[in-house]
Amino acid sequence: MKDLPVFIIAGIPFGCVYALGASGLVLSYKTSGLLNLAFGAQAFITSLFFYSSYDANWPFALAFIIWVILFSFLLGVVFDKVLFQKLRHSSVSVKLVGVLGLLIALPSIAQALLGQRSPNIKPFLFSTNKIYFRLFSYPVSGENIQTVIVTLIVIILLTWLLRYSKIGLSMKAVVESPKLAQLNGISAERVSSIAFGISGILAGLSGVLLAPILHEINSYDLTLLVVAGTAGAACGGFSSLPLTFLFSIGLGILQEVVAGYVPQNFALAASIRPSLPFIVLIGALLFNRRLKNIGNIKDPMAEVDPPQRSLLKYYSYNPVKLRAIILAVVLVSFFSVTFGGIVSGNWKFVLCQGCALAVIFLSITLLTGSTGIVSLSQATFAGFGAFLTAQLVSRYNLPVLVALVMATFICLLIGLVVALFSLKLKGLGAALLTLGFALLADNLIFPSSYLANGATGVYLPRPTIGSINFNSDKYWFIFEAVVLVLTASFVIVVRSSKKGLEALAISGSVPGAQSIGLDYSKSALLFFSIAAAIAGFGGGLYGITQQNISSQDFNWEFSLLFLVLVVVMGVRSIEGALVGAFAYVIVQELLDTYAGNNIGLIISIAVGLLALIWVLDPEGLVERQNRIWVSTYRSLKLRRDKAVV
Amino acid sequence: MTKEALKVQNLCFNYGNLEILKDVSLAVSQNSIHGVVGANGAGKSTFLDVVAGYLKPKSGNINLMGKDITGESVVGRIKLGLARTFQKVELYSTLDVYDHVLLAIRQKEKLKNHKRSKLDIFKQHGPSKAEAVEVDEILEKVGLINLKNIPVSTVSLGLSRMVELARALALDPKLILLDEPSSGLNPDETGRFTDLILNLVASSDVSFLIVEHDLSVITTSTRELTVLDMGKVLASGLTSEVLDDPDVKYTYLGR
Repeated sequence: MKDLPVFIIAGIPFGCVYALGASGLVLSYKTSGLLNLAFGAQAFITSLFFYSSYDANWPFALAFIIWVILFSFLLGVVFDKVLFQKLRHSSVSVKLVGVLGLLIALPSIAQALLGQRSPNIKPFLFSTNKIYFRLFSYPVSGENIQTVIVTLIVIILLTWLLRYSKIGLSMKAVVESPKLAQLNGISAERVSSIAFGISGILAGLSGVLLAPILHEINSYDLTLLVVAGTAGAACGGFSSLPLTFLFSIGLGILQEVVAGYVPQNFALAASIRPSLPFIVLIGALLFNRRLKNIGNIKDPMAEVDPPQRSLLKYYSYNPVKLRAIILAVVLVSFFSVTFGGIVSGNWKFVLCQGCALAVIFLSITLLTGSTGIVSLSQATFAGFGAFLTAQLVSRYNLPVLVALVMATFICLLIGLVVALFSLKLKGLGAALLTLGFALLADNLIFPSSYLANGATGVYLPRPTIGSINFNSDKYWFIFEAVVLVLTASFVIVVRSSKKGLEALAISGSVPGAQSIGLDYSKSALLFFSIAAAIAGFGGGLYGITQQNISSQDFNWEFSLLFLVLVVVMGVRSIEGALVGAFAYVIVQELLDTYAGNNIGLIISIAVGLLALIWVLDPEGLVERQNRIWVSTYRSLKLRRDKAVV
Repeated sequence: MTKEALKVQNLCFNYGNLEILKDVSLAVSQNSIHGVVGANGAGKSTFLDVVAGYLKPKSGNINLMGKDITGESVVGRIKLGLARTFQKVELYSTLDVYDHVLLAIRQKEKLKNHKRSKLDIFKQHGPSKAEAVEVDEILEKVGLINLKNIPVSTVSLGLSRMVELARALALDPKLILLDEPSSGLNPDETGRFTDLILNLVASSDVSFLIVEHDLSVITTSTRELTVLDMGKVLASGLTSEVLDDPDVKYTYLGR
């Protein structure tokens, strides 16, 4: 154990960075009730702008004041004024999509402005590669010293601000009750904007200090910071700043200690260190009882609020048959245009991808559209479906379609287990747990040779039935189109079933449902598992379409992207999922042809901005159009009936 | 002798070390409306939550129609004939009035006939003939029949409270707990609501335990009244007698 002090010292700088991010998260959450997961993106763009300017020979003080102090503060205030204040009384899915929209769009916008090249990380307070002294034989370098010093200064300033300043007192009042504070002449909106501004500075500082420790600025660090910060804040119950600091620093230390003692020949040695924040986050969410109602901060004076704006009953042409026929007609048209030679090139393959993706998206329609439960791990379930299918084929020589069905069933069981854990919490807590699961799968489960086989990936053959060889995209598209129509019909049937009606009731009001004896847990378990199975099935189809897939095809970021796309198009209608999926693959192909390397950036910015537009009117683009068509149809019918009378 | 729909004896409830309910006892006669009043923080809503099974009491007994329900779950109590409404209306925001009653009727059938929950993911949710008749009867009773296809998100607070009552009635309960039903309603709506519960008591075998601030509702609708003060029963008995009680006048009415 003689290395223990060394590991502890090595972990402190990481812990300090996590603590800065986490305390910003807690500060803004307490004054607004909104968990700003986009703080990782704020950290990323601040550090990108800061190091780019500093690299372009701006004086350190100027770059620091402009970017880390003023820009970060203003960014926090602007986000609060423009978006967060409008989200206060929204549902979990709307809040999450709002912050996820920022998390997806911001880094890409910054990269579009500055170019994708990472700037040099020049030392500022202390030389980064110089060893200043040794502590228990650990070489303490400049970046370690500057991180600890800045964190200490922040602790002193925050303590002064919250304990002794006028704004600190106002913040405490707003935390208790924004409405009562307003009766005392305190503007709760202004106080929350200032809290978001300060939390922006803390996020910016954490990004700027993390870069020298990791020697780079990339989007993966953003993930690490978001999850480690959220884990630290969760351990502190999203309320106590001193506890948040302590737990975050403890998390940094724990990471180094665990990494130091895990034998290097252990298969997952390299994955354990980055996975610890996810494991701690999951543990905190499951065992910290104070987090049971996270996301449901209620003002004691909330009764005076007007009722939450809710969407109208979902209007649709009722018969399953009619909607299935319309979908079939659309798919046949796609088929004729593409395979009839009107368009050429890669489009046949693109349509095959679209069908598979649409199946995955339908899992979100079923889960979030019916129960209101938000899962941030649908791409992970899709990954399980694809990798398990590949493994069943290669290890047991099963026909690929049989393997796909078996993999779908296994996904149902995995979904059941994840649901059993995540549904101990409700709303935001459950969503965060699914995010923890997705990250854990990316880092610890998928790399295994029993699943995605690391970066190498796995191979999935296309099936052959009789004389039909599905290696031809033409036949594979027909097969997938039939499967898609069947899956869409299945989702419509389940949603309009007795259980579907119960799920809608529960998503409308849990206490109301409880008052007639409806069981939230049973309904949530059922829908979550079925959605996991559909996502797994879609993932398998996607894998068979692509044939070569790796864990990068199903990482956690895709779960966020899929969720945002489906809800923006309309989470309560199957049309939303279908339009979302086909629009995504078609736009991606167009950009691939015409925009070259910037495709990822453009898609991220577009999806992020769409999400932000959507949160201001969460009906969904396709859903709104559907409602307009249905009401026009009904009024025409009414006029015709009157004429007949 | 009148039978009791609900009998609560020596009920105590604590939040940590804080005593919220201390030895609360009361009885609601069958086919009657029993009021509970008290200042803010007197423990009225907590009392309702304990009776409905949402909170577990520290000690004491709760009997519904002569049966001890103290250890029963929320669902167990619904099965035995207990229903409730909420102070802050809790409706299924995306459904219409009809679906609220339909769902409650289905739950009643399931609970009363001890049916196991089926995996009804393929049966369409529309009502059977018998269910349709029953839903219409209940909606007729509460005067919502013309609004049955209206989404609840578009109805007024007064009508929302009627929908909550219709949902509770659909469970075919012996006792309905009403938590401040007049809160947020104008005098006309309050009058209509009071008339409705008086009619229901007169025409069926349901009883009501009503927690209320509005004394006009209490005086016009309840036969018996319990006054809570700091978690204890200050007075209980016939409404007119309780309201004349000098302690009640001094503590609650401020006269």
